[in-house]
Amino acid sequence: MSDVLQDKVSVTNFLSLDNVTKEYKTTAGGVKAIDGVSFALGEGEFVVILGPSGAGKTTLLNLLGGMDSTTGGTIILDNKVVSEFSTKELTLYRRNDIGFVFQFYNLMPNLTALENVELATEICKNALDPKQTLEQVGLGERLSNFPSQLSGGEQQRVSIARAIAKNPKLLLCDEPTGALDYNTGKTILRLLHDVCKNNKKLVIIVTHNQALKDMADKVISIKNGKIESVVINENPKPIEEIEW
Amino acid sequence: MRSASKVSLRLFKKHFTRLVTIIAIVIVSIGFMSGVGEIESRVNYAVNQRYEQYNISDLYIKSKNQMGFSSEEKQKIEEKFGKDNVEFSMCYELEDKDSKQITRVYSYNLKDSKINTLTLMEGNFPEKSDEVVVERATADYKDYNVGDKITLMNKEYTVSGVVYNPLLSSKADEPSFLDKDRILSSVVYVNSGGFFQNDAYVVIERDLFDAYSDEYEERINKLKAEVEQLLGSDNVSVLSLYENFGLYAQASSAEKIGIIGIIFVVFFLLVTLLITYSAMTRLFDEERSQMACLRTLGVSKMGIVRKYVLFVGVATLIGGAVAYFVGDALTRIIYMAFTTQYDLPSYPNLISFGYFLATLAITFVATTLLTLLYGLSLLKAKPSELLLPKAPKMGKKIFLERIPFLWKPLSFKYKSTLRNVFLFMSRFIMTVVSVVGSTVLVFAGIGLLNCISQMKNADSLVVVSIAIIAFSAVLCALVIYNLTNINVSERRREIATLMVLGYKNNEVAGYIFREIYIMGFIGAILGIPCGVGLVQFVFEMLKFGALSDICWWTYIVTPVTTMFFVFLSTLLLRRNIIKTDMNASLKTVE
Repeated sequence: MSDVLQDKVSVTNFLSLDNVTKEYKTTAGGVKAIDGVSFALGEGEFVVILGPSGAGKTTLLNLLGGMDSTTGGTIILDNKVVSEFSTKELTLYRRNDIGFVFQFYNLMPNLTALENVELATEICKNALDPKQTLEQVGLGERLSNFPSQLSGGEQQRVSIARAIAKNPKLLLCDEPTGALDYNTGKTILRLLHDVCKNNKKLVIIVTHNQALKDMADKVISIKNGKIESVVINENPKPIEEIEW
Repeated sequence: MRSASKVSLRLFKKHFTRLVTIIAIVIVSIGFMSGVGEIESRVNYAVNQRYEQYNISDLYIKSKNQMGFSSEEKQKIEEKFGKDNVEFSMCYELEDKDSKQITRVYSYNLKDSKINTLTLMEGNFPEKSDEVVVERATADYKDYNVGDKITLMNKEYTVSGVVYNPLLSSKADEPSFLDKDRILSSVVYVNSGGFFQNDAYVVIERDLFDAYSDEYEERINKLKAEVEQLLGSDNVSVLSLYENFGLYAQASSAEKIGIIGIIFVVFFLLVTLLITYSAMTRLFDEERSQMACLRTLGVSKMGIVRKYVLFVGVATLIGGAVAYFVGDALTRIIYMAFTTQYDLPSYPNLISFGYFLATLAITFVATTLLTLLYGLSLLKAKPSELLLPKAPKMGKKIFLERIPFLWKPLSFKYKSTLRNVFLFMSRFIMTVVSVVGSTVLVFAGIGLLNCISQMKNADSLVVVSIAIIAFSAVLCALVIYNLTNINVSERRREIATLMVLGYKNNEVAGYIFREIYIMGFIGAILGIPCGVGLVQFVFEMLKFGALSDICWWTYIVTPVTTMFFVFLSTLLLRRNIIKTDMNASLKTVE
């Protein structure tokens, strides 16, 4: 029992946030979108960040993904202090350490599925083979199709392949099933879960869908820019069993 | 109504850059078109004014006989034209044996002369028989002061005054009768009405002239033939104003500028309309979801399109208002350049709007109508279709992909660029044609300048060709900036995606701008043969110049200029790319 706990503590230091703040200046004064957020996550964890719209989820995701910089506190990923990165360092951080999956896929319309993945792998250091990655997400037959020739679910798979082929340290997903139908959404979640467990990747999903909390190892609820609760699921449910 | 005007105002604010670009393009093109167009009327006005003011002779009959006109010949001339419409004088030229300078002497009754009246600029007309007046100093005519002595045929005269003869109004060289290749050094007027007279100056009805109208030319040629027949072409030569270089060149240069104006107007209009149209169609594409929303609320098609028509209409009118002053300034500058070459009165402050109103009206009607039609055609789609983002352009393979050994080695960045360039044919054609159009104008301006600067006595047109170059260059820059700007705003999402993937600023800019570089390059290269065609046409219309007059460097400078503007535009818009908000661009459907 104590061995298991010990193990959990050591991996939990992979990503840690300490009193992170993001304040926006407005004419009426400062508005804190993120207000003193602290938590720690480990490699291979499947994490869901829950919260109503306007709670600061997206801001938090932007800070984790290096799309925005903090106004206070520290973010450390794999012993690197991300919160102190310059704009240029943040670009390299996004390039080598982060994989993004968005609600609207954001594929390049004029590149084939394979080329869309190559777009990401061409510039990063430890990239995986684009073709193999697409085969892994079940699109081996559709390598030379353009986004407009793929269904929503297939486009999201390309976008996941693009994110994981970078071999990132952290996979960030912003409402990845938001634009998909129920069944397709489930298969996409299954895929993300497999990537997490098979490749030992830290996967963070940002959503307002309460149902997803049952499948996560860890659920972080935020409200008004503050952490409301961090719940550890000892026995996450398989995706097939959750419904919304 | 109040909310409608608020919505319009918001549209203006939101698309401020586009508004400014349209305004700027309209200023440049209407400014050029009206500025160059109005020159002819100003010069013609001045020419007519001079013609009437000095009572300039329409025909100049010169006796070939050593003894001058016989009394019988004089009588015949007076009978034909009326005694009051003819004046006789003696004219001869003397060559100084030492200096080889040629002096022309006119001898007639200066005080009673009513035709080609001399204007006294200094001193007095001769009172005594040993006094003379001289033509004003120019680059060629010597400078005399009142009181200077002149010796003509061994007789000494005193200069009593300096005059200006309207027939010698050119500031360029006046050729000698003795030797056409030599020029006069001075012109002297002696006050004596002797019997020996070898020149006759004839005036006809004044109102026929109208700056060398066709009727006038026809009449003059007929009269010339009649006089030659009446007096015998062996005895006389008859010259008209068409043979007076100084006088006729003013009007013919003005006419040439008019022709240049008309030819270039077509190109300026074409480019202006093309650019405005593409700016407006992209604007509609960006606003389609808002339009759909209004449509579902039950707003009529006209009600929706109206504010976009207002947008382009107001931009055209603001641009037009400023263009009036730009055009007026350009007309004044070209007129000023004319006065350095020809002796013209000071700038006639005519209030004439002809060219300005015509070009503004055409531009206004065309831009608003095109916007209206495109808007209405877009609204033919059901609101539900409009609410969806524009159907994603079908990813397709281009012809080049069928040639694997050419396609395979390309990096996918180039693959994407080439697909973008060749798949969106209408955008490709619009961009290339706009760039070609403005390149052609720059080429033609430089080509014309090359040719004109090699010609004698065509100075006044240098300013016009410089104006063409300047206005075309500005237009070219605006066209390219506008196209690049549209390209950037259309691809905001792609830019954001690249940034999220960790592409560095230079790499993002390269990815986006590669397309505009390729299209700009194609336009710049195609602009040369098209420019050659235009210049050849201009030369034909002007009846001077040849392609061989165009210096070799023109073929290099022109595309380099275009590419310079391409690079400048991308440099300016690079900041715009960098400040792209990744979140806003990625997390919406648009």
